[in-house]
Parts: sequence; C-alpha cells; structure tokens
Amino acid sequence: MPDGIAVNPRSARVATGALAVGLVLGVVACGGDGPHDDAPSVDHRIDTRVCAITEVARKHTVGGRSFAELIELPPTEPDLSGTAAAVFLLRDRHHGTLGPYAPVIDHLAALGKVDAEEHRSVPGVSAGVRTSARRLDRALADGLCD
Amino acid sequence: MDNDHRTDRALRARAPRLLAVGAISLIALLGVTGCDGSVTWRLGKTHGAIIEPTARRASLGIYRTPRHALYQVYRAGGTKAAQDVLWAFGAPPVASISVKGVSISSVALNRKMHGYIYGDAADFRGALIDAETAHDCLALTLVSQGLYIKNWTHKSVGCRTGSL
Repeated sequence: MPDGIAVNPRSARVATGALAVGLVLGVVACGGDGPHDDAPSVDHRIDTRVCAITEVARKHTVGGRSFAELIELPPTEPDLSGTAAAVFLLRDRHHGTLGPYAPVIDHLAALGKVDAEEHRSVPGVSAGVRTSARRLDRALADGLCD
Repeated sequence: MDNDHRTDRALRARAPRLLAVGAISLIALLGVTGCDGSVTWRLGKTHGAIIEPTARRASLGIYRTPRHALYQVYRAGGTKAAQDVLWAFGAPPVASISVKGVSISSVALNRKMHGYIYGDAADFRGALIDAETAHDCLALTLVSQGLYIKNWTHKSVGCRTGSL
C-alpha cells in the first residue's frame, strides 16, 4: 500500500463484496449469452443445408463428375442441366446462408432457373464460382455429407 | 440395401409434402367450384388444383416451370432422380377436408403421398415425358367420376407457367 493512503476497513469490505458480486454476475451473464453445447453451430447448419440441396444431384445427376468439372460443361449437357434443375428446385426449400459453397450452388440454381423459365441468357462461370466448386468437391471428398 | 431402407424410412418420416397441400386443397375446391362449370386453380407458385366438373375429376397440377426442372432431372438421372427431387421438394399440408360425404385427412394424404410418387414409376415417367413434350402441367389425378383414383397424367387446360 503506498504511503499516505488510508483504507477504511468498512469501505474495503464493501468494495470486496461488490467485486465478488460483479464477478458472479459477469460469469452468469457471459454463460447465458453463449451458445449451448448441444445447439448446432452455424457451420453445421450450412453443411446440413448444402447436403440437402445437393443430395439428389450427388446421387443421380452429376454423372461421376466433380462439381468443378460439371460447371465447365455446356449448359445444354444433361448432367449439368439436370444438376442445375435439382439444385434450383431444392434451393427453394432450403433457405439460408451457404457459406463458402454459396457461389457454386447459387450459380447452379441460377442456371436451373434460366433453363426452367426458358430464358436465353445463361450466367457465366466466374473465378469465385470455380473456387467455391473446388472447395465443395474437397469437402465432399472429406466426408461432408457422409 | 440398408442405406436404401434407411433413406426410405427417412423419406416416409418427413412429414408434410407439397403434393399433400395441393391434394387437400383440390378436394376442398370440389365443394366450392364443382358446380359452376369452371376450371379452377389455386395454391402456390409451383402447383395448383385442376377441377374438371363434367368429368367429376380433380387433379393436382405441377406448373410448367417446376415440371420442366423435373424433366431435366429425369433426363440426367432417370425416373428415381425425378421422384426423389419431387419428394424432397415437399411442403407442409394445412388441413383435413370433408366434401359431400367424401373425407380425406392430411394424415392419410401424407401416408399415401410417398406411394403416389414412388408407387408406379412407369406411370410417373410416362406422364412426365408427355407433359414435357406437350408443354403441359404434370398432373396427379386423385378423383375421377367422383371416385378416388391415382393416375399420373398431364393437363393443358388451366395449366400455368408458375415460378419458384
């Protein structure tokens, strides 16, 4: 204790009590605001959504191709148009963010929509879509939907 | 095989489906519009009810846009792919109905819907191809001549383009 500073014992007890109460409240408040251990994480929800949207495509329409290969096919190629159609239909049933997989899934959905509505303008494949497709392929290879 | 069974069980366990909504509503519409000689569509962006009063027929119609998407899925992956995407595309039913002494519950429709979609692959495939060729709606007839029936077909009258 520095010289010249006198501490009233009563004040010290009050301060100690206040500090203790503050710590308890802080711990409770922080604990209450945090996610529950059993609540699905954002990543898990994204993974679940991506798997649901791509399930029919992965099982039936990609023709053994990776998504990175698929998006480079001509839009009239059945494997691409079928995959795009399935993603287009199922994306409508599974709203929400798709994280790093959004560019490729939204590209396929847009392709499916253009085809289903018989528009002529086909969306191009951007670098971001290609990157996203490769990331989806890697995640699927690592067991994303197994 | 186990995976297939698990998938089937999971599919059956998914409650309420898109087609059920349409089926319930179309039966309900029989009571509302069955006597005025008109063809009536109702419901969502993707599907609706087709009522043919003179034939006492009611069908669920899947609009042209989703029908074309279904066909593209079929073209790439076959009938099972189209059936799977149609089933996965479901949405909840809303009610039970009773019309002119003929009742059908949402529970019963939910129970039957899997069979409607998967029960007769050849019937479904033929109707989907015909609908695409004729640029019609894909239709599931559930009542004809006042009797329950299950028949995949295609309809042009009252068919809409629809959207998602």
